[in-house]
Amino acid sequence: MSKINQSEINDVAWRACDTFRGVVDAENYRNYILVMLFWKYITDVWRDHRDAYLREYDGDEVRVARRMARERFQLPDGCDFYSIHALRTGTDIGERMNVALAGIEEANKAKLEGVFREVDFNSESKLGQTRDRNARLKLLLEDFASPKLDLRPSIVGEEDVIGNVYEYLLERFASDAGKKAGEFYTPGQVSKLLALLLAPKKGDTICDPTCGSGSLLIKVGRQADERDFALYGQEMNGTTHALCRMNMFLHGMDNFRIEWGDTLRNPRLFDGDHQLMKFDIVVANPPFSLDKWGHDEAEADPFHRFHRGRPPKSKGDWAFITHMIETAREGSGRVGVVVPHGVLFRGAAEGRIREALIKENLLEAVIGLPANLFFGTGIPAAILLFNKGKTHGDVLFIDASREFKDAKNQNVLTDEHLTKIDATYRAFQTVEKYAYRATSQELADNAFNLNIPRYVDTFEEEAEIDLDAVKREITTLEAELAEVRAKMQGYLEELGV
Amino acid sequence: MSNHTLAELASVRMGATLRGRDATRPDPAGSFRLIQISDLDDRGGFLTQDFTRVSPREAISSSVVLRPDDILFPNRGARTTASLFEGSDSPCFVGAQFFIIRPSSRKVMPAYVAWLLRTRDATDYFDLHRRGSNVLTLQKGAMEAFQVPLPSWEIQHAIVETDRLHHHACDLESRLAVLRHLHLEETLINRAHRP
Repeated sequence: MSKINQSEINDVAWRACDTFRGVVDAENYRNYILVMLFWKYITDVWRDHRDAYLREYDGDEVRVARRMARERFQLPDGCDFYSIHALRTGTDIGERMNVALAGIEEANKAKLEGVFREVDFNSESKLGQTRDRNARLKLLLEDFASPKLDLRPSIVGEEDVIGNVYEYLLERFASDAGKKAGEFYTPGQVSKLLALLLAPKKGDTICDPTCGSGSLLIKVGRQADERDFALYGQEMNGTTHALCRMNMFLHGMDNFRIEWGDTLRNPRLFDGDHQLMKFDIVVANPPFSLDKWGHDEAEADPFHRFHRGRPPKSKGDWAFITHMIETAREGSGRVGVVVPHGVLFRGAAEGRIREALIKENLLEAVIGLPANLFFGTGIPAAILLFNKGKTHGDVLFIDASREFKDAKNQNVLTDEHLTKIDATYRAFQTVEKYAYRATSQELADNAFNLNIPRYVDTFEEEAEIDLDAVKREITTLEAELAEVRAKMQGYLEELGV
Repeated sequence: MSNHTLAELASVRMGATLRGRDATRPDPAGSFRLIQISDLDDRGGFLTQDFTRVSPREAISSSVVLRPDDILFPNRGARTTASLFEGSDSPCFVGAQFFIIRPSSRKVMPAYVAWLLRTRDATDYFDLHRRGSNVLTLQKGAMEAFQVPLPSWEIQHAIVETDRLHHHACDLESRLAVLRHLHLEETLINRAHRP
């Protein structure tokens, strides 16, 4: 059988959403579709491995069962996708789907507990009244049973195909979700840029304290050598937390630790002494200027994260940055964070925190990104890089805001742009009209304001006007105009008007 | 000179019906190019030749794949314009928000029909026939009933050329106005700086 290609499988999965479009809000059916994909995937893997063992052991069911007991995910009898697909015309299909997923969760408690908590295939409010709901679920099961969506490893080959289709769906849902999209998805090129800049090494521990659906974390992990890295994350939104865990599994990254909870009020990644874990790399695209982030609780923070100052009540940007710095490994940890531009120049408490961090020589680079890169917001953002193992006192400013590909709804950074930013950061030198290596004294002279135009001069002088050239152009155009008018006159005479 | 309805001189058909917003999602590897209303200017010109590439989910009937000399006429909204499609390196089509007018008579010059459909007379006619409480829509029947005065081929050609030259002259005059202003201002600035 010929192997299917990535765009074909993406397309089939996306078209399965047609069953829900116009009936259920995208926000709701997103979870159903992603759960279906995950369910289909573990079923197909199970089926594929079972078939292989049956061949290997000449149909000896006992030996096959023994081998299947060591599978990555256990699939109890009757809980696989095809068993439920066979019952698709039943009147209680929603209930049966729920029971099957509950059975899978129960059999894989350590890995999958809570992963399906947000989907209820029997929900009248989300999927409609019984008759309509049953019809929709039947269509959904049929869509996922399409031979084109055969996810058996022997058919799809490399594991990345499954991870990629999940990622594709997440990005498509994000681009359709408007303002809410930023909550669960960081655009692929921004994740890739952070992965390039942070360049994780083999064996690094990597954490995203606001990990959303985990795409950024996975991209940064992938940048590390082979598969020798450890991923950690925390996500506040329960639905997104479940998406993130499925995303990890579908990318073949089973050994992760993703906690559910509010990173600022209730951090949950601890070491053995109930202290905040320290990571080699901390990366995040936290919510921009979050209101009510936990200002009041921060004063008595048991982990003393806000010792440089408490960020303002209505803007949590520096709270996230502070948390990230506090959880980066002492002496070597690195932090990469996406921030709105206000973070670079706002005064008061934020100014004091910024000044303290600069004086501690933790800030390494400030990179201005083009506007309209992110889902749900057109504002330009910047990347701040901090390094606890810095060996000099300078900070590199890169103005990458003017170099992007203008796509219809959103601007895009191409691989060429990413390579240029990364190469400039590695060289850590001034590049005319693009980057500037500032000394700590220059930062102090600018009152620790990090606004990029203060350092990177992108002013283009207006070209001097060549009066003779202008005169020549006027003469040429006047001659052309006279010729056009003469021709017009000829036609007007022909027309007799 | 004789008068004809548009239906007597050309076929009028709707563009392709595309279902769901996915249908117009750009796909750099798409085999078709989709011409949209935003690709046209008020004078019937094309703002780009790099029309969006798409991969239609449904089969596109060969009758709505654009041919050179087809006239595109937006049938929604209050704007009256018409564009003459001159061909493209890839197959192009339009959505159902356009009529595709395909002249079928040798007596009529496609560029002449496009010009006529952009005139003030045409605007008045279509304004009278648009319907709809929210989005104004023009029915195919109204389009087909549009009256086309049909002078000789030579006269049609002279009209089209005069119109084209007139627009070219307007463009030249606009550019000249900018340059004359620039030249005068710079001359005066230089004079002001001279001792």
